[in-house]
Amino acid sequence: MDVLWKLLWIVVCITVPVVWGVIVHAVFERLRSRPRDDEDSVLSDFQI
Amino acid sequence: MPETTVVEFLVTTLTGGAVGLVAGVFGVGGGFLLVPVLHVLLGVPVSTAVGAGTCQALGPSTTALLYRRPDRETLRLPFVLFGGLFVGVLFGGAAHAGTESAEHVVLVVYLVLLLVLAVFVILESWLSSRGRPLPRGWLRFVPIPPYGRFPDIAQPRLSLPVLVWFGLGVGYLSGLLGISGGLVLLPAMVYLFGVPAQDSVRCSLVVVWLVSVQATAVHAWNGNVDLWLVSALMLGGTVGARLGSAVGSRLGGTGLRLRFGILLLAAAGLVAFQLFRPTT
Repeated sequence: MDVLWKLLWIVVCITVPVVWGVIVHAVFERLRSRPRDDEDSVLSDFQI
Repeated sequence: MPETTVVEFLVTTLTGGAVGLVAGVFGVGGGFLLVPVLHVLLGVPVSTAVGAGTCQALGPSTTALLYRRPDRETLRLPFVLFGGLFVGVLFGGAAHAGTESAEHVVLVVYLVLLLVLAVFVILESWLSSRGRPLPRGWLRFVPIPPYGRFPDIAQPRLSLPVLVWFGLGVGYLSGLLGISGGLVLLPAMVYLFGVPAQDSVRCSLVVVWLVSVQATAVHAWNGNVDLWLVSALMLGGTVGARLGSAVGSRLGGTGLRLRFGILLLAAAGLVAFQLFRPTT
């Protein structure tokens, strides 16, 4: 039983940081691909 | 860690953020800084600090791996190294098993490793600034068969026993010290095996992830992983590393490696302070 708990604990300890890493990657990817907001468009209009 | 208070969680998050910030500036993982800071400044036991350092490294290394997405050819060298890494991590992690002297051994090995790396980085930076870069590929032509061919990393062939023994050493340090191995692996691949810097980065990303998974399993089995501590460190570390990389990209320049050498010396000083301070 003790061995089973230890194995389960290993799975949890690996899963938590991996899921965190996947979420952080997804958030950064979303930020990177986000289109320019209105303020940027106004600025670019001024530059034109 | 049920006894963890909100204040302790916040302090650990801020500590993780500060370490992440510094690591982000220099583009390194920061595990080498995390364990001394957790132990010396926050009083976390060495085994717990090592377990937390190893486990939290899995978060950023997963992000980095997803971002870079190494191709199949890049995986060849890491998988050869992993033979030695696997055994090394097992031995390094087992060295923590309950003995009083383990803590002292970990700190001494930390001190020696940080000093050696600091001297190397400062020397390399100084020689490069004088137009005399260190030669690369010191172990490239070691005549110990069998050999592996890695055409994708611009090396005709490398001795497999040398690679496996090298992996064993890096794995042992990772399991013992809670570092993900990139700090040792990157300069070693460039200077010992002559692997181009870009290929070294790609290979070390894969190795760091594999080592982090295995070392986390070993330390979780030994009861050294505190998930509250790990969560606080990942939370602070992610924000800190993001800010740090923005600062680092502005700093740039040739003095960055010299400053990194000085940072390594400072980390070594922290460990030396803990080792040699008089006990009351």
